[in-house]
Amino acid sequence: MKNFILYIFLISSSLSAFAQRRDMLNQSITNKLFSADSASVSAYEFAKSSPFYIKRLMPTNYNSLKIGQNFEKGNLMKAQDASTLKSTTLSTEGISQLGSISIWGQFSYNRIVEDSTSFSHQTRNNLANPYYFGSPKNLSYQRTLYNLKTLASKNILKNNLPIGLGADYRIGNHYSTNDPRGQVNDFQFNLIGTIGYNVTKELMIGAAYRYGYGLEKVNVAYKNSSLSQGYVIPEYNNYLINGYGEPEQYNTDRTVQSNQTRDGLDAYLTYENATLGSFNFSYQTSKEKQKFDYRTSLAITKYINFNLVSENYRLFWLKKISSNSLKVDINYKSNTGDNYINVYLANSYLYKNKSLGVQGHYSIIKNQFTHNIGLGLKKYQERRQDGIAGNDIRFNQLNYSLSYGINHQNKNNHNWGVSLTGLYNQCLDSDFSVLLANEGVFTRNVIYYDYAYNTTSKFGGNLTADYSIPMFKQIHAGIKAGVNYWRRDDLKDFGRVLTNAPGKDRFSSNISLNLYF
Amino acid sequence: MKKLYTLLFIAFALASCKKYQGNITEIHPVRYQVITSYASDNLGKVLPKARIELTITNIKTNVSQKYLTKSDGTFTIDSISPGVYDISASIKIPASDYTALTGETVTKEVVFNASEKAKIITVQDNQITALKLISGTTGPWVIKQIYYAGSNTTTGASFRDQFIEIYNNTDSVLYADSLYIAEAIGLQNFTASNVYRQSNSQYDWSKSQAMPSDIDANNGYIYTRALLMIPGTGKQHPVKAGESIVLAQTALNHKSPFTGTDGKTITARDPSLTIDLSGADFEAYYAPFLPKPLASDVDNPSVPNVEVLSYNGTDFILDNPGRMGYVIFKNKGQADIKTLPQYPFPTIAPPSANSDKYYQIPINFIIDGVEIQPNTASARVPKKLGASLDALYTYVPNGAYSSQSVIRKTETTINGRKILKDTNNSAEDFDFLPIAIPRGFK
Repeated sequence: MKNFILYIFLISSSLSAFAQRRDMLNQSITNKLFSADSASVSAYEFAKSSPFYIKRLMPTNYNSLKIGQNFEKGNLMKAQDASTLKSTTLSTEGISQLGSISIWGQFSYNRIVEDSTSFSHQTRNNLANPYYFGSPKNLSYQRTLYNLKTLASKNILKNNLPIGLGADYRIGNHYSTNDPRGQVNDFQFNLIGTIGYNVTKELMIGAAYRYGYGLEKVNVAYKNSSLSQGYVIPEYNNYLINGYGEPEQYNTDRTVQSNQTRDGLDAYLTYENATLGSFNFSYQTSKEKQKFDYRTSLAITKYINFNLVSENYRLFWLKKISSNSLKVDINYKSNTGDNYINVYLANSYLYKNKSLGVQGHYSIIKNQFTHNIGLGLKKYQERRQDGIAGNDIRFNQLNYSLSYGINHQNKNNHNWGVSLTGLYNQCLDSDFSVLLANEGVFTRNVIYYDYAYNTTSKFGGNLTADYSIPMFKQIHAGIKAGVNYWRRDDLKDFGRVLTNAPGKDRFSSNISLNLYF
Repeated sequence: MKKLYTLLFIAFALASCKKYQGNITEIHPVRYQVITSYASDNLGKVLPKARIELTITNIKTNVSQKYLTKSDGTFTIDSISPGVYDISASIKIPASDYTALTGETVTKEVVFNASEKAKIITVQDNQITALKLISGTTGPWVIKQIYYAGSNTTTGASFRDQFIEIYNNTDSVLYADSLYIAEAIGLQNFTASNVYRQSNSQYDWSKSQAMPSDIDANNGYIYTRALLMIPGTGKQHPVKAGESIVLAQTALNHKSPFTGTDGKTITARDPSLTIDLSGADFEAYYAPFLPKPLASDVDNPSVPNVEVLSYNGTDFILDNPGRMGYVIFKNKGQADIKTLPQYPFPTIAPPSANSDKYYQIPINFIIDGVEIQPNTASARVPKKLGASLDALYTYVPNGAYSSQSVIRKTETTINGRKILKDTNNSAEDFDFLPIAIPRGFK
């Protein structure tokens, strides 16, 4: 298995490197201008979802490298998030043409240091995670993530039958540096194969099959032996969170393994002509099975199974209007999860979320200026039901965003840009049903807290600025910095005493060095 | 060809839409009823059934709820999560009321208890648990503090600093002479298949070899492992009202280094984790009758030793995780405790000739009993003491080697004398101390 993964890594790296080998100054300037065009970048990002799109929606050559630092601080966050977070990112990606094959590749490295994370010995990738360990103690978590993606597409049969392949490999290591020490190791590997058919010059249909699997291994231990001999301070207690109710104290056999398999189908339809632009409709569905168990050299004890069904409908419209471009992205997503507890031989936990979003970007390119106007509206609903605890919690939010950005490139190809975004998160409605008889440390510190957080309205803004210049005749190099601020309204009174309430605000900033070549 | 692709596309989309689950969970909180009644039919006719306090504790989450019964002694919980619970019922009847209702003259309030430990509430609706209330003895002596956890094995004194404290809860002088202190033994797991068990998973002592068939071996007696007796001729060890005696495993100051019997120095690296037991009233000294005594079992000549009738191990080492019952008793009438019968565990295979045997102590001898259980639900074991001695159990929250002790709560103070709470339910009567304090109060 390791050899196979290494092989994939080497192949992908060489493809990515090849994609980045083109070294013309003009190309670097073109790529920088491309990155400043919100509508085109949106199309590029959309195309990353499947090799089916890379020939149509990605430029023929585009390479970039980013080294960034992010800092977040503030208690306006979900209960299991970190009050302080620092992350370092190194990411490089590019697309190039190898004969008639279009190849896109991306490699990213993330190093994240979280401070004050509680009740969360888990990765940040499995949002519906139904089975994990946690303790009230605030922990400092360190996470290292490597992600490698490649997509390739080739048109065969006189360019009438585009076929594509893609792979996505991610490996992560997460551990806390204070007791109770969580150690989470995970990897995910996903493959996609696509096939399309040009029905007419303007209409293309396609389909894809996806398959993936993953593994998470979790272990919680104590370095301080006096803490491991019992729970000297109650906040060091280890809890097993099984669903979304009061967890059980779990101070022995603190390991769990989760094996995940998933498969799914995509369907695509694109229509493109000079008058209407490019319409791209995609439908993705995936069914994932997660099996949680406890393993020793003697036996495997099955804990729970979790099924997760995801659906994603997306319509992406890109229209070039002379030198300007318009993008409209309509997206409906849903995730539906249900567990099966082997002790009860029945289901006890249901997780559902669905979102419907519309995003529009209009980019005006005029006199060396690029103006980007953006508008976004997204409705998000989430519901968690825990049958054993008798909890049923739902909230419904509407997120607004309005942005304006300007970018200028002078005759020396020096480029600067500024962008401002206004953000508003409005809670539309919610339901709260939690049995008072089960009110314990998790219910108070996580369930009540998150309900308070999710049902309060928030407003914020984002300001970014960047400046870049040509360097070494081949590269366009720039620095980009941004600040983000969120603040909440008053918390909703839902008849329970909050021992721990979400903070008033949260601030984040980021700075990155970006190279286009 | 186009039609074929269109059909394939539609088939793909429809097949992909299939979902697994419904809109509500299969498991949900259930309706559950507790019915209380008095074990004695005669008392049941006259004593109140209303406002009996029910305590229901989910042993996995450790969340507790209290309810009061209706006039018929029942209470129905409309929604309770399926799980494993400790359930207890308790009512205190003032002495005057009890006398008026029953015609029996009593001088202090009478407490009735009932309990069911580790009750499994399944996913079925309308389950019922019936609890039979019985009264226990609230004697002159009470077990006040049990320091079974010990302190840190590397920085503290490990098990060496354990002790038991017994308190005079009356308003008069009592004499500790010939007071017995014992560990109640029982089955320490729920899984053993090589022994006879009762429905509560505890040993079925009636199946022990040579057990008479005309006695209630399970409910009328307890069985002891370590059995110690305070020496004295009758009035050598007076204990004033509101004072106590401390029985130490080793009556030394464990905060300071001392020399073991092997000549090596024994030190607690962090003295704040342990205690000074040099002022104990009695100590258990096993060395005289052991072939290889424990080096730390050093005799303090200024502290009298208790008499050892039976023992286990190399010293009076209390079970650190907390899986024992502790009782104090005195003999009644002319009974000679040393001659009480002893029985082996009720193993399915006949016990061997040299199998250990345990003293059988009649329940009516016992003045006070306290059941200890481990702090984590998964480690708990079948109960050893019946509801008349201790309806539930107590434990130190931080478990073994935590320096913590369980201590009886102070109920009231009269003229400076503290009266400790004694309802025969240690879950209600006991609290804990972060660091054990001989002769301390809570």
